[in-house]
Amino acid sequence: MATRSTATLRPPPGDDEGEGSAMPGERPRPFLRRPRFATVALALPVAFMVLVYAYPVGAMLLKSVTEPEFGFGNFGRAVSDATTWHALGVTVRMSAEVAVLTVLLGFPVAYVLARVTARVARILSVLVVIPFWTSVLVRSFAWIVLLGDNGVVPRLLSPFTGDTAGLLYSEAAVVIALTHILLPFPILIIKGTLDQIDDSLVRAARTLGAGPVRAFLRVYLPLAFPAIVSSGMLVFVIGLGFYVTPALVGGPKESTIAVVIAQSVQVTFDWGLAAALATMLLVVAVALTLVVRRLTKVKGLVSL
Amino acid sequence: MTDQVVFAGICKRFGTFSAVRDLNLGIKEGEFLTLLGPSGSGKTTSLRMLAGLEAATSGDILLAGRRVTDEVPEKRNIGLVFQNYALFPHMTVAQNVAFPLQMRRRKRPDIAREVDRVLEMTQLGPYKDRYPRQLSGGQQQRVALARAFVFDPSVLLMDEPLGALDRNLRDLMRLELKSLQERIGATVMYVTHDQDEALALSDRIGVMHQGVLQQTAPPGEIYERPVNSFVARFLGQSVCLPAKRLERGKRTVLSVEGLDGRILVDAENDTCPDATGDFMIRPERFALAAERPDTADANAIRCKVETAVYLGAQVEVHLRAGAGARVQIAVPAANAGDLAAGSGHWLTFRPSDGLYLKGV
Repeated sequence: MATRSTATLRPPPGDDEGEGSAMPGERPRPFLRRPRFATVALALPVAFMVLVYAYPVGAMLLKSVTEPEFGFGNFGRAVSDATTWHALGVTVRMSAEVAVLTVLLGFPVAYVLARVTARVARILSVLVVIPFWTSVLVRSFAWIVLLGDNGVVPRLLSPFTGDTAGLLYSEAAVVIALTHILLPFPILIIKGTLDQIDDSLVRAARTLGAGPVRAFLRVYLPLAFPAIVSSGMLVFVIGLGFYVTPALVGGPKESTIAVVIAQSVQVTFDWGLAAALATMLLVVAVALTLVVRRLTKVKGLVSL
Repeated sequence: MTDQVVFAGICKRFGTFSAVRDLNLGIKEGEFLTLLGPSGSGKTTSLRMLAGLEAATSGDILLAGRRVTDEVPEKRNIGLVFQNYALFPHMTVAQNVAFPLQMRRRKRPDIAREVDRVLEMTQLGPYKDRYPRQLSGGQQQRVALARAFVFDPSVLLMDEPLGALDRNLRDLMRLELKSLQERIGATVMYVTHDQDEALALSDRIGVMHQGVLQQTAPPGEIYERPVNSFVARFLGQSVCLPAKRLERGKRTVLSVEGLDGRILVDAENDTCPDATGDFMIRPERFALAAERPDTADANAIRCKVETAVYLGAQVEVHLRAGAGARVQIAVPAANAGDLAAGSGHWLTFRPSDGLYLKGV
């Protein structure tokens, strides 16, 4: 007990700069120091995160092994149920498709935003962000109208498809709607990085003998790569847990894991199973993120 | 032997602004030519046109006898060292240097050998696997240089390559740069606004001002015999005063604003086509005397000491001529004599020391 109290009063060496290298003639430090500003400033957000993030996640993890009784019964039920695996597969596949699509569509936009003058970039950036002002619910309903039977999209496609049947309640509908909703993320993240790329690098590559295509592929693209990967990862992870859009425009055959979780809570009142599924989703998200990060590390760059 | 680089009547306009006007310039093989001028004088634009990063509005550029005016940069075989180095941050030193060789589809063992050779020359061997951000400014500069000449370009261009370095390192790199250029025998076009760099490195200096090449000559000639008062003022210290030519002959007789009496300069020092121009003299050509010299040949101007600043080895003397011109000269402290403020003196110089130039 006594040793513990001294330890709290004297921080370990290396905790603070200058500790242990007291200058000659320096006054001894006050025994009890006032907390530093950074400590105080950080306390609030940390407390907030604990309250609204760590506590619910902890409670969920706890519930998965205690509801209705202690043990891994919930995981057993989840793992042995084919719907779980199907939903998990659908979720991962759709999120991956959305991530790839948003990055492919977002990169050219980000490229243009990074090339135009600052004034034009500001205006265009506002246009990119405007959809954020509308709720996801509204945007998802908009897609119901657009993609439904005799909707704008099926009618535009009718010369090719031969009918005006809607695309709704399908995986395609979810992917289209989610791509639209999540597109601003890669655009803004990639633009941020492209803005940092020194124009003279591409010019240097040109004078050193690279044509425009090789200069882009060998110099520009590798420098944009960390942002491309991290924005794709962000969209992927958001997509994994996205509920509203898949629930509205998705079909019953392609339920995502979020939809299955919601059903467990709202329809079957099976909180334990819902918690177990949520935990599995969390594990998948963390694992995939780590794998992708490891695979795509670009040397010589400070990755995001 | 024709020149390695030729600018023939090159003009560059940005909208209504003329960045470069009728540039005619040849650079011989193995020559180190510096374009010197203040910012906005068109020197960097000229270099960028040679590199193909900027298109000339009119005129032609020849490189090793080949017309390259409309060629894309990657076909020109030019090595360019950027001011900020423009090293590829995602590549190691060796990969950066190998890049131009890879772009030329050279064989892998050849590339490795060439890279090693060049890194050895630039003392970068131990750093070949480091990334640019792990290097000091001087080392990055050397990588940029190595990358620019590893593929044996027809000409090596440098755009203020030492500008980002601190003073001491700059002087050191200046020496390194010169000895490297002599060893590889490269033709160099160098752009700077630093006159010391230009004087120390160049075989010839071209001074640019407002898009016009004013004069191209070896450093000594540019300093001693500038063609106009802009060149005179831009390189080194000078006293430049508006003047009128009164007589021509063996000596030109001038009436100089701010200096009383008539000023004599040798006929060969009179290069001004007009009756009005600028009188120019380097301050180190002045002598300070207590009495008027008795030779009728010398110019002598009566002046008063305004202040004298003791700087150890030298005394910086600020003088004011009777007719109002201010002159600042440096006198060795050992024989400075009495330089009390307000005391009268004579500034003397020979007619061979003063120049009568076209004013700019």
